[in-house]
Amino acid sequence: MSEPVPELSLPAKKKGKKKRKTGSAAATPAADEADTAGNDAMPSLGLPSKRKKRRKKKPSADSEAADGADNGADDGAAGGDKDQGTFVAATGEEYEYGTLLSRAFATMRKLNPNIESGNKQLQLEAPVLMRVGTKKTGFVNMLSICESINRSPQHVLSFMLAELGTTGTFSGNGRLTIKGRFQVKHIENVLRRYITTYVLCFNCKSSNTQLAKEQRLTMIECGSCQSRRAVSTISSGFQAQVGRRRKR
Amino acid sequence: MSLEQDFGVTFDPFQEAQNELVGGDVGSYVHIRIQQRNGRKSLTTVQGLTPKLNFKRVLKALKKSLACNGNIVEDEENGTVIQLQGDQRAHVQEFLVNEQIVDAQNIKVHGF
Repeated sequence: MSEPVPELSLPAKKKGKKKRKTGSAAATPAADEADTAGNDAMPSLGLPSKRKKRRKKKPSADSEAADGADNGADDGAAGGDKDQGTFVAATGEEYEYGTLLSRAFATMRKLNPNIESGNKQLQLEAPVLMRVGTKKTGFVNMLSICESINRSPQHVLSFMLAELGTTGTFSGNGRLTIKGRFQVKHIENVLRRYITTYVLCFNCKSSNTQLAKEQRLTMIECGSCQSRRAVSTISSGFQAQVGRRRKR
Repeated sequence: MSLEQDFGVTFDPFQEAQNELVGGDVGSYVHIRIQQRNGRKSLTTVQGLTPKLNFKRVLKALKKSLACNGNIVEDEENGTVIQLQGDQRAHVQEFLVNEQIVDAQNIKVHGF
Protein backbone atom coordinates (compact mmCIF):
# COMPACT_ATOMS: atom_id res chain seq x y z
CA MET A 1 0.00 0.00 0.00
CA SER A 2 2.93 2.32 0.42
CA GLU A 3 3.64 2.19 -3.31
CA PRO A 4 0.62 4.06 -4.65
CA VAL A 5 0.84 6.93 -2.22
CA PRO A 6 3.47 9.02 -4.01
CA GLU A 7 1.55 8.63 -7.26
CA LEU A 8 -1.62 9.90 -5.68
CA SER A 9 -0.30 13.42 -5.53
CA LEU A 10 0.33 13.54 -9.25
CA PRO A 11 -2.23 15.68 -11.03
CA ALA A 12 -2.17 14.29 -14.57
CA LYS A 13 -5.08 12.08 -15.68
CA LYS A 14 -2.87 9.52 -17.35
CA LYS A 15 -1.08 9.04 -14.07
CA GLY A 16 -4.42 8.40 -12.44
CA LYS A 17 -4.98 5.55 -14.84
CA LYS A 18 -1.66 4.02 -14.13
CA LYS A 19 -2.11 4.41 -10.44
CA ARG A 20 -5.38 2.56 -10.61
CA LYS A 21 -3.65 -0.25 -12.39
CA THR A 22 -1.04 -0.58 -9.72
CA GLY A 23 -3.69 -0.21 -7.06
CA SER A 24 -5.76 -3.07 -8.42
CA ALA A 25 -2.69 -5.13 -8.85
CA ALA A 26 -1.84 -4.51 -5.23
CA ALA A 27 -5.37 -5.14 -4.07
CA THR A 28 -6.04 -8.40 -5.88
CA PRO A 29 -3.51 -10.51 -4.05
CA ALA A 30 -4.79 -9.20 -0.72
CA ALA A 31 -8.44 -10.06 -1.36
CA ASP A 32 -9.83 -11.59 -4.51
CA GLU A 33 -12.52 -9.21 -5.77
CA ALA A 34 -13.02 -10.35 -9.37
CA ASP A 35 -14.47 -7.73 -11.77
CA THR A 36 -14.96 -4.91 -9.34
CA ALA A 37 -11.46 -5.06 -8.03
CA GLY A 38 -10.50 -1.81 -9.72
CA ASN A 39 -13.45 0.11 -8.30
CA ASP A 40 -13.26 -1.35 -4.86
CA ALA A 41 -9.60 -0.78 -4.56
CA MET A 42 -10.07 2.97 -4.90
CA PRO A 43 -11.70 3.61 -1.57
CA SER A 44 -9.09 1.54 0.15
CA LEU A 45 -6.49 3.77 -1.39
CA GLY A 46 -8.07 6.70 0.33
CA LEU A 47 -8.83 8.62 -2.86
CA PRO A 48 -11.04 11.67 -2.52
CA SER A 49 -14.56 10.90 -3.68
CA LYS A 50 -14.48 13.71 -6.23
CA ARG A 51 -11.85 11.88 -8.15
CA LYS A 52 -13.93 8.77 -8.31
CA LYS A 53 -16.97 10.54 -9.71
CA ARG A 54 -15.00 12.18 -12.42
CA ARG A 55 -13.65 8.88 -13.55
CA LYS A 56 -17.12 7.43 -13.92
CA LYS A 57 -18.22 10.29 -16.12
CA LYS A 58 -15.19 10.13 -18.33
CA PRO A 59 -15.98 8.80 -21.79
CA SER A 60 -15.26 5.16 -22.12
CA ALA A 61 -13.17 5.69 -25.24
CA ASP A 62 -10.52 7.34 -23.15
CA SER A 63 -10.38 4.58 -20.61
CA GLU A 64 -10.50 2.03 -23.38
CA ALA A 65 -7.46 3.56 -25.02
CA ALA A 66 -5.64 3.65 -21.74
CA ASP A 67 -6.63 0.09 -20.95
CA GLY A 68 -5.64 -1.03 -24.39
CA ALA A 69 -2.13 0.10 -23.72
CA ASP A 70 -2.00 -1.86 -20.52
CA ASN A 71 -2.76 -5.54 -20.19
CA GLY A 72 -3.38 -8.39 -17.82
CA ALA A 73 -4.52 -7.24 -14.42
CA ASP A 74 -6.21 -4.12 -15.79
CA ASP A 75 -8.87 -6.00 -17.77
CA GLY A 76 -10.93 -6.62 -14.69
CA ALA A 77 -11.04 -2.94 -13.88
CA ALA A 78 -12.12 -2.06 -17.41
CA GLY A 79 -15.04 -4.47 -17.09
CA GLY A 80 -16.12 -2.67 -13.94
CA ASP A 81 -16.06 0.64 -15.75
CA LYS A 82 -18.22 -0.67 -18.55
CA ASP A 83 -20.93 -1.67 -16.12
CA GLN A 84 -21.30 1.93 -15.06
CA GLY A 85 -22.38 3.53 -18.31
CA THR A 86 -21.72 1.68 -21.52
CA PHE A 87 -23.33 -1.12 -23.46
CA VAL A 88 -21.37 -3.48 -25.63
CA ALA A 89 -23.29 -4.66 -28.66
CA ALA A 90 -22.88 -8.10 -30.12
CA THR A 91 -20.79 -6.59 -32.90
CA GLY A 92 -18.35 -5.36 -30.34
CA GLU A 93 -19.25 -1.68 -30.66
CA GLU A 94 -19.68 0.29 -27.51
CA TYR A 95 -22.48 2.73 -26.78
CA GLU A 96 -22.71 5.14 -23.92
CA TYR A 97 -25.88 5.39 -21.87
CA GLY A 98 -26.44 9.04 -22.80
CA THR A 99 -26.23 8.49 -26.52
CA LEU A 100 -28.51 5.47 -26.32
CA LEU A 101 -31.08 7.40 -24.33
CA SER A 102 -31.16 10.32 -26.73
CA ARG A 103 -31.35 7.90 -29.62
CA ALA A 104 -34.33 6.13 -28.05
CA PHE A 105 -36.14 9.44 -27.60
CA ALA A 106 -35.35 10.55 -31.13
CA THR A 107 -36.75 7.30 -32.52
CA MET A 108 -39.84 7.63 -30.35
CA ARG A 109 -40.48 11.15 -31.60
CA LYS A 110 -39.93 10.12 -35.19
CA LEU A 111 -42.33 7.21 -35.07
CA ASN A 112 -45.07 8.94 -33.07
CA PRO A 113 -44.95 12.62 -33.88
CA ASN A 114 -48.14 13.36 -31.95
CA ILE A 115 -46.91 11.89 -28.69
CA GLU A 116 -45.66 15.22 -27.40
CA SER A 117 -47.51 17.73 -29.49
CA GLY A 118 -50.53 17.21 -27.22
CA ASN A 119 -49.05 19.06 -24.27
CA LYS A 120 -48.06 22.23 -25.97
CA GLN A 121 -48.70 25.21 -23.80
CA LEU A 122 -51.64 27.48 -24.07
CA GLN A 123 -50.44 30.94 -24.98
CA LEU A 124 -52.55 33.89 -24.03
CA GLU A 125 -52.20 37.50 -24.94
CA ALA A 126 -51.76 39.80 -22.00
CA PRO A 127 -54.96 41.50 -20.85
CA VAL A 128 -55.17 45.14 -21.82
CA LEU A 129 -56.74 47.36 -19.18
CA MET A 130 -57.68 50.98 -19.11
CA ARG A 131 -59.15 53.15 -16.45
CA VAL A 132 -62.72 54.33 -16.98
CA GLY A 133 -63.12 57.38 -14.82
CA THR A 134 -61.51 56.84 -11.44
CA LYS A 135 -63.44 53.88 -10.06
CA LYS A 136 -63.94 51.60 -13.03
CA THR A 137 -61.58 49.51 -15.09
CA GLY A 138 -62.07 48.66 -18.73
CA PHE A 139 -60.94 45.28 -19.98
CA VAL A 140 -60.33 45.88 -23.66
CA ASN A 141 -59.35 42.55 -25.17
CA MET A 142 -61.62 40.33 -23.12
CA LEU A 143 -63.50 39.00 -26.13
CA SER A 144 -60.40 37.93 -28.01
CA ILE A 145 -59.07 36.20 -24.89
CA CYS A 146 -62.35 34.35 -24.50
CA GLU A 147 -62.13 33.33 -28.11
CA SER A 148 -58.62 32.00 -27.74
CA ILE A 149 -59.59 29.84 -24.76
CA ASN A 150 -62.83 28.85 -26.47
CA ARG A 151 -65.21 29.89 -23.71
CA SER A 152 -68.26 32.08 -23.76
CA PRO A 153 -67.61 35.62 -22.53
CA GLN A 154 -70.60 35.38 -20.20
CA HIS A 155 -69.07 32.45 -18.37
CA VAL A 156 -65.69 34.10 -18.04
CA LEU A 157 -67.37 37.31 -16.95
CA SER A 158 -69.39 35.66 -14.21
CA PHE A 159 -66.29 33.91 -12.93
CA MET A 160 -64.26 37.09 -12.91
CA LEU A 161 -66.93 39.08 -11.15
CA ALA A 162 -67.36 36.39 -8.52
CA GLU A 163 -63.64 36.20 -7.94
CA LEU A 164 -63.10 39.92 -7.81
CA GLY A 165 -66.23 40.47 -5.74
CA THR A 166 -67.49 43.31 -7.90
CA THR A 167 -69.96 44.04 -10.62
CA GLY A 168 -69.40 44.76 -14.26
CA THR A 169 -70.99 44.82 -17.67
CA PHE A 170 -70.13 44.57 -21.30
CA SER A 171 -70.14 48.03 -22.69
CA GLY A 172 -70.32 48.62 -26.41
CA ASN A 173 -67.44 47.83 -28.74
CA GLY A 174 -66.81 44.54 -26.98
CA ARG A 175 -65.22 46.03 -23.92
CA LEU A 176 -65.83 44.91 -20.39
CA THR A 177 -66.19 47.45 -17.63
CA ILE A 178 -65.54 46.29 -14.09
CA LYS A 179 -66.21 48.33 -11.03
CA GLY A 180 -63.12 48.85 -8.96
CA ARG A 181 -59.51 49.54 -9.67
CA PHE A 182 -57.56 46.59 -11.01
CA GLN A 183 -54.14 46.08 -12.44
CA VAL A 184 -53.03 43.81 -15.22
CA LYS A 185 -51.45 41.35 -12.80
CA HIS A 186 -54.72 41.05 -10.89
CA ILE A 187 -56.68 40.21 -14.00
CA GLU A 188 -53.94 37.88 -15.16
CA ASN A 189 -54.16 35.97 -11.90
CA VAL A 190 -57.90 35.60 -12.17
CA LEU A 191 -57.69 34.46 -15.77
CA ARG A 192 -55.04 31.94 -14.85
CA ARG A 193 -57.27 30.55 -12.16
CA TYR A 194 -60.16 30.38 -14.59
CA ILE A 195 -58.07 28.45 -17.05
CA THR A 196 -56.86 25.94 -14.51
CA THR A 197 -60.36 25.24 -13.25
CA TYR A 198 -62.49 25.55 -16.36
CA VAL A 199 -60.27 25.12 -19.39
CA LEU A 200 -57.40 22.72 -18.83
CA CYS A 201 -58.25 19.04 -18.79
CA PHE A 202 -57.55 17.74 -15.31
CA ASN A 203 -56.17 14.56 -16.79
CA CYS A 204 -53.96 15.43 -19.71
CA LYS A 205 -53.67 19.21 -19.17
CA SER A 206 -54.66 19.94 -22.72
CA SER A 207 -56.69 23.03 -23.48
CA ASN A 208 -58.73 21.27 -26.14
CA THR A 209 -61.85 21.09 -23.99
CA GLN A 210 -65.52 21.93 -24.05
CA LEU A 211 -67.95 22.90 -21.33
CA ALA A 212 -71.28 21.11 -21.44
CA LYS A 213 -74.33 21.30 -19.22
CA GLU A 214 -75.73 18.02 -18.09
CA GLN A 215 -78.53 17.70 -15.57
CA ARG A 216 -77.66 20.99 -13.95
CA LEU A 217 -74.02 19.99 -13.74
CA THR A 218 -71.34 21.65 -15.78
CA MET A 219 -69.05 19.10 -17.26
CA ILE A 220 -65.68 19.70 -18.84
CA GLU A 221 -65.03 17.38 -21.75
CA CYS A 222 -61.56 16.87 -23.10
CA GLY A 223 -61.18 16.63 -26.85
CA SER A 224 -57.80 14.92 -26.60
CA CYS A 225 -58.33 12.21 -24.03
CA GLN A 226 -62.16 12.06 -24.01
CA SER A 227 -62.31 12.36 -20.26
CA ARG A 228 -65.24 14.08 -18.59
CA ARG A 229 -65.40 15.75 -15.26
CA ALA A 230 -67.84 17.89 -13.37
CA VAL A 231 -66.61 21.34 -12.47
CA SER A 232 -67.90 23.47 -9.67
CA THR A 233 -70.46 26.10 -10.45
CA ILE A 234 -69.50 29.72 -10.11
CA SER A 235 -70.78 31.28 -6.93
CA SER A 236 -69.74 34.58 -5.55
CA GLY A 237 -70.40 33.48 -1.98
CA PHE A 238 -70.81 35.94 0.81
CA GLN A 239 -70.83 39.55 -0.22
CA ALA A 240 -70.26 42.02 2.55
CA GLN A 241 -72.00 45.34 2.66
CA VAL A 242 -69.64 47.80 1.08
CA GLY A 243 -70.49 51.41 0.53
CA ARG A 244 -73.65 53.20 1.38
CA ARG A 245 -76.60 51.30 2.74
CA ARG A 246 -79.85 51.56 0.95
CA LYS A 247 -82.60 53.49 2.73
CA ARG A 248 -85.56 51.43 3.72
CA MET B 1 -55.16 -16.90 7.65
CA SER B 2 -57.00 -13.67 7.94
CA LEU B 3 -57.62 -11.18 5.17
CA GLU B 4 -55.21 -8.74 6.64
CA GLN B 5 -52.37 -11.14 6.31
CA ASP B 6 -53.36 -11.98 2.75
CA PHE B 7 -53.25 -8.47 1.40
CA GLY B 8 -51.06 -6.78 3.93
CA VAL B 9 -53.66 -4.13 4.70
CA THR B 10 -51.77 -1.57 6.66
CA PHE B 11 -53.88 1.54 6.45
CA ASP B 12 -57.12 2.26 8.23
CA PRO B 13 -59.78 3.62 5.88
CA PHE B 14 -61.46 5.46 8.72
CA GLN B 15 -58.33 7.12 9.94
CA GLU B 16 -59.12 10.28 8.06
CA ALA B 17 -62.39 10.69 9.88
CA GLN B 18 -60.72 10.27 13.23
CA ASN B 19 -58.02 12.86 12.95
CA GLU B 20 -60.31 15.37 11.32
CA LEU B 21 -59.35 18.92 12.03
CA VAL B 22 -61.55 21.22 14.02
CA GLY B 23 -62.34 23.49 11.11
CA GLY B 24 -64.15 22.81 7.85
CA ASP B 25 -65.70 19.42 7.26
CA VAL B 26 -64.00 17.00 4.94
CA GLY B 27 -64.46 18.06 1.34
CA SER B 28 -65.90 21.46 2.15
CA TYR B 29 -63.82 24.47 1.47
CA VAL B 30 -63.11 27.57 3.47
CA HIS B 31 -63.26 30.54 1.15
CA ILE B 32 -61.17 33.60 1.80
CA ARG B 33 -62.31 36.52 -0.31
CA ILE B 34 -61.48 40.14 -0.72
CA GLN B 35 -63.73 43.06 -1.52
CA GLN B 36 -62.63 46.46 -2.60
CA ARG B 37 -63.82 49.44 -0.69
CA ASN B 38 -63.27 53.09 -1.28
CA GLY B 39 -59.75 54.18 -2.04
CA ARG B 40 -57.12 51.58 -1.35
CA LYS B 41 -59.08 49.98 1.43
CA SER B 42 -60.44 46.51 1.30
CA LEU B 43 -62.26 43.88 3.30
CA THR B 44 -61.42 40.22 3.82
CA THR B 45 -64.17 37.69 4.40
CA VAL B 46 -63.70 34.14 5.64
CA GLN B 47 -66.59 31.89 4.77
CA GLY B 48 -67.19 28.21 5.34
CA LEU B 49 -65.72 27.69 8.79
CA THR B 50 -67.47 24.98 10.71
CA PRO B 51 -70.23 26.11 13.10
CA LYS B 52 -68.58 24.02 15.82
CA LEU B 53 -65.97 26.71 16.11
CA ASN B 54 -66.08 29.32 18.83
CA PHE B 55 -66.15 32.25 16.43
CA LYS B 56 -65.75 34.88 19.10
CA ARG B 57 -62.50 33.42 20.27
CA VAL B 58 -61.18 32.84 16.78
CA LEU B 59 -62.01 36.40 15.83
CA LYS B 60 -60.32 37.72 18.92
CA ALA B 61 -57.16 35.82 18.14
CA LEU B 62 -57.30 36.90 14.51
CA LYS B 63 -57.74 40.53 15.39
CA LYS B 64 -54.87 40.37 17.82
CA SER B 65 -52.41 38.63 15.54
CA LEU B 66 -53.30 40.55 12.40
CA ALA B 67 -53.66 43.89 14.16
CA CYS B 68 -56.89 44.79 12.48
CA ASN B 69 -60.52 45.07 13.37
CA GLY B 70 -63.14 42.61 12.34
CA ASN B 71 -66.55 41.25 13.11
CA ILE B 72 -68.80 38.26 12.75
CA VAL B 73 -71.67 38.28 10.30
CA GLU B 74 -74.47 35.76 10.36
CA ASP B 75 -75.59 35.09 6.82
CA GLU B 76 -78.63 33.04 5.90
CA GLU B 77 -77.03 31.30 2.97
CA ASN B 78 -73.39 31.21 3.90
CA GLY B 79 -73.51 30.66 7.63
CA THR B 80 -71.24 32.55 9.94
CA VAL B 81 -68.73 34.73 8.17
CA ILE B 82 -65.72 36.48 9.66
CA GLN B 83 -65.00 39.92 8.26
CA LEU B 84 -61.64 41.57 8.68
CA GLN B 85 -60.44 44.98 7.69
CA GLY B 86 -57.79 45.21 5.03
CA ASP B 87 -56.33 42.69 2.65
CA GLN B 88 -55.57 39.88 5.10
CA ARG B 89 -55.93 36.94 2.76
CA ALA B 90 -52.43 35.58 3.09
CA HIS B 91 -52.34 36.25 6.81
CA VAL B 92 -55.66 34.56 7.49
CA GLN B 93 -54.65 31.54 5.49
CA GLU B 94 -51.43 31.23 7.42
CA PHE B 95 -53.27 31.70 10.70
CA LEU B 96 -55.87 29.04 9.97
CA VAL B 97 -53.24 26.54 8.94
CA ASN B 98 -50.89 27.27 11.81
CA GLU B 99 -53.64 27.01 14.40
CA GLN B 100 -54.75 23.78 12.74
CA ILE B 101 -58.26 25.03 12.33
CA VAL B 102 -58.36 24.15 8.65
CA ASP B 103 -56.23 21.93 6.49
CA ALA B 104 -54.21 23.87 3.93
CA GLN B 105 -55.77 22.01 1.01
CA ASN B 106 -59.27 22.95 2.12
CA ILE B 107 -58.63 26.67 1.90
CA LYS B 108 -59.49 28.55 -1.26
CA VAL B 109 -58.23 32.06 -1.60
CA HIS B 110 -60.17 34.18 -4.05
CA GLY B 111 -59.69 37.59 -5.50
CA PHE B 112 -56.97 39.04 -7.64
